[in-house]
Parts: sequence; C-alpha cells; structure tokens
Amino acid sequence: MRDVAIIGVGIHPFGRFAGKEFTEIGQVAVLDALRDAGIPWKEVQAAFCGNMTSGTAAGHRVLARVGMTGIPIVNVENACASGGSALRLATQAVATGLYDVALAFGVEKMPRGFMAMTSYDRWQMLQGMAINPIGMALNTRWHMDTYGTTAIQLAKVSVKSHKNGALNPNAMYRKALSLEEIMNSPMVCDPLRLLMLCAPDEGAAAAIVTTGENARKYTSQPVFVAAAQLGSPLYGTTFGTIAVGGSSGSARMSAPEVSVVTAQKAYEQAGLGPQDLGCVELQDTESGSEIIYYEQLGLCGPGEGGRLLDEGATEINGRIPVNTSGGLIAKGEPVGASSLGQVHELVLQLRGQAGQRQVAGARVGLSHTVGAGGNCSVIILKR
Amino acid sequence: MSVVPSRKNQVPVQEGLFSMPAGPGESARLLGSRCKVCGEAFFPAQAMCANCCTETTEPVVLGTRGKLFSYTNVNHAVPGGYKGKIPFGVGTVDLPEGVRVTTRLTEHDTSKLRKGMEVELVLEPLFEDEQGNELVGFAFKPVR
Repeated sequence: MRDVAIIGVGIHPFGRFAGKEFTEIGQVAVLDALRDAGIPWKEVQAAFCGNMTSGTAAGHRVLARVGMTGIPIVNVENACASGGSALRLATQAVATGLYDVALAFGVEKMPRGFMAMTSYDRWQMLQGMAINPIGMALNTRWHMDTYGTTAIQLAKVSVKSHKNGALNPNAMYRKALSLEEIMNSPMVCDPLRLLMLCAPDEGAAAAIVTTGENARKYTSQPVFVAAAQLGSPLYGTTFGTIAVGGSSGSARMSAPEVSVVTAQKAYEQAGLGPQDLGCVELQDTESGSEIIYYEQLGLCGPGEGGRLLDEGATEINGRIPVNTSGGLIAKGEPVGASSLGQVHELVLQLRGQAGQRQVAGARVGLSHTVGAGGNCSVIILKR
Repeated sequence: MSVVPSRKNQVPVQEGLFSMPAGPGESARLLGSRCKVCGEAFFPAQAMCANCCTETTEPVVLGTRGKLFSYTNVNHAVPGGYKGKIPFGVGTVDLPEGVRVTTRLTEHDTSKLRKGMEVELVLEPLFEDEQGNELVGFAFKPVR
C-alpha cells in the first residue's frame, strides 16, 4: 500500500443560502480544493461524493458542471459518516495504486427543522419516535445517571462551540453565547435544549489526495492520511442499536460502542494514540455527544468527560483542543459534508493556517463522525 | 375489544408488533423472538439472531413489566407522519427476556422518571389516520 496525502482542501461555508442549488454549493468547495492543490480538474482521476438528501447522482450533478472528463464518480450515502466514507474510498483508491489523484467531497442542502430521517421503521415514525435527538438524549441521560454529568456541563460544551464558531468564517452561527442563554433555550428532548443541538444546514467541503511521494510536487505542506477507518455497531451495544432504526438492544450484553472500536482501529493503523493528538473534530450532534465521545475516543477515561470539559482541556488553548471549528453545534450539520468539513479544519490546523483558531504546534488531528445506522468514521491526519 | 373506550375502529401502528388484550383484565403483549442457541431476544421479532448470525430464533411473547434504563421526552412536532399529542415520553426499557426496547412512555415529565423504575406495557391511542381509523401504539407506564 502507498502512503496517501491530502494536497488540497476546499469549502463552501456552512449555513443557509436561499436560492442556491446544491450543485453550485458543491462546485464552490471542489474548485476551492483544486485551487488549494494547484491542479486543474483534468488531473483528478476518480471522485467520491458524500451526500444524504439530494437524491440520485448528486456527485455527478455537481461535477458535470466542473468538467466532464469521464472519470468514475461514486456517490456515498452513509449518513453522518458519508464524507468520511468518501475520503476513505479516495484514500484506498490511491493507496492501492488504482489512481494517483482522487477527490473526496461532500455536499448537502437540507430542509429546516428536525431531519425527516428515513432510517427508522414505519412503526417508529407513526409513534413519533423517528427523530435523532431521542437517541442522543437517551445516551446523555444514561451518562448523567451513570457518571453524574450535569446540565451545566452540557451547556458548557455549547458555550465553547459558539465561542470557537465566532472565530470561524465558515460557521453558520458566529456569535458567542452565554451559559444562561443556552440553559434558558427551549427543551427539545430532555436534557437536551435547543442551543445544545446542531442544526441541519447547507454546505460543502472537499479534499484532494495523492500519493505521499507525489504530494511534495504539489505542496510544501502535505497532510498525510495516517488512518481512515469506518465501522458499524457490534451486537450488544446499547446505543449503537438505537442508531439502527427499528432494532432493539440487549440488556444482557455490553459490547464496546462503535466509536470505541473504530477509533482503536484507527490508532492501530496510524501507530499513534490519543496522547499524540493535537486537535480533534468530533461528532457533536449535541453537547451530550461531545462529552461521551471524549471518552469513547480515549481523550479521557470513562466518566471523565465532564471533568475534561470543566478543566478547559478541550478549549483551543487547552491540552487537547476539540472542535476548534465550532463543531457541528456552531457550523450546523450539512450531513454529507460534515466529515470533510472536519478534515478541512484539521488540515488548516496542521498547516498552521487556522488564524484566530490556531492550535499551537498541532502535528496530528483526528476526525470522528457517527450517525444513523451506527455508521462511524475515524480519520487520523498528520503533517 | 377496544383498548380504551372509543367508538372508532382501532388499528395497530404495525401488524405483528403486539397482540391486543385477549379479554377483560388481560394485557397487550409485545411480540418478539429469541435465539434458541444464545438466548438473546429481539423486538420486533426477527428470523436471524443478530448475535449468532444464524437463523435460530423462535417467536416469544415478551413480558409486560420491565425496568427503565434511560428516558427522555419529545416537546416539539416531529416529522414522519405522527399527529398525536406533544409532549410525550420516550425511553429504553429492559424486559425480563433480556431485550432492551426503545419505546414511548406515558409519562413525559422526566422529574417523575428514574433509572431502574418498574414500568408496564400499555396500549395507547395515537391519532386518527387518513382512513378514519384510530392508530394504536405501545408505551410503558410507571408502576405506582
């Protein structure tokens, strides 16, 4: 297998863009990545597109407007992990020698409000149970019951996200919020309040990969894909099975959750561990998830997530900065694009181009997404 | 036999999910399956055991009482065709067969819910569908 490196990243800001089609939004990110890599479209030999809501041939519709070069284009619908899945496929395509230059991008233009997910059984929909915050709230309540995590800690996650988002020109919400504003926002699914949740939105992000050997021809700052892992839940995980629409969990078994397993595989592949991470972008669908995934990704021990947050360890200037971009809570979640939005942030961080959000001396970054179906993507990047 | 006093024709949200009460004083029952090899139970019923990955399950009528594992509520209108009351409770309930079911709860006030509390199965009229039938779902209710 060949080493693979990212030579260009691009983004269309995450937010709301009335009158703009997803094709145009996607194209902006792709062109931005080509410019960043300094290559013409004709050098790209294969493309992988993450998308959940734009329907058939979404990637083809974006790329036909960039140039029709006859390359293979694969559309990936893997819920929140779509973009990570696309980048993994692009990485594999280059690592195996099938292609030398590949594009991964994600694009989304989502309706407002709760995501109208088709990932639940009809009986769940008719019983009003087909919304994502339910599973996350059950998860968060369990964490509070088990470890004493507090509502104030949940609000603190959102304070941090909005503070970071205010520094990110690509975020949807760019205003710092107080703890009181968050605690006074309407309850959506107890204990999760409106301002603790991410909102679906619109946006796109892209990354261009080539071999590690070729990368230096294009850039003096290649960012290597040290690991790209994808997983689905094991039987016996409580919260993994809630994420798989229509299935029950086991009260007798307790298998490791999908994020734990996928992160372990990624650490092994990279030959690195949580102690090596300089910055992390993780799936903060809501603030409870951020605390839980601190633990599942090994940034701290089980039950220590709330304390890690209280200590300020995950702030931009902390020991292990998390969601310096503002995360999904501040950026919004254009599902197919969210993974690659994380990768965009990490590449900026590792190159030292993150401006006011810059983490000092970050050499390794981790991107984590997990969502419907229990799809989990973990990507480790290093400079 | 109506689950609650009603003149409307009552229809379950899905056939095969639960049985209607057999008579006065009887309860509705959730219909699951259980693996003959490892003993893991599933709801709704499925032919394959997701643990053994073999076609080794048989139908099982699940117990009507369980323990609350986690809980939340829904306070805003939701997509997916649901037209019933808001707010309502949702939780995960551990049944005696070892299956952890995600379910509606009759109680939406989370201050009245706690992990480990005993809950029992009830049927719940949800809303009227386009054919004028009253859709009936299942929920768990705290045992007082």
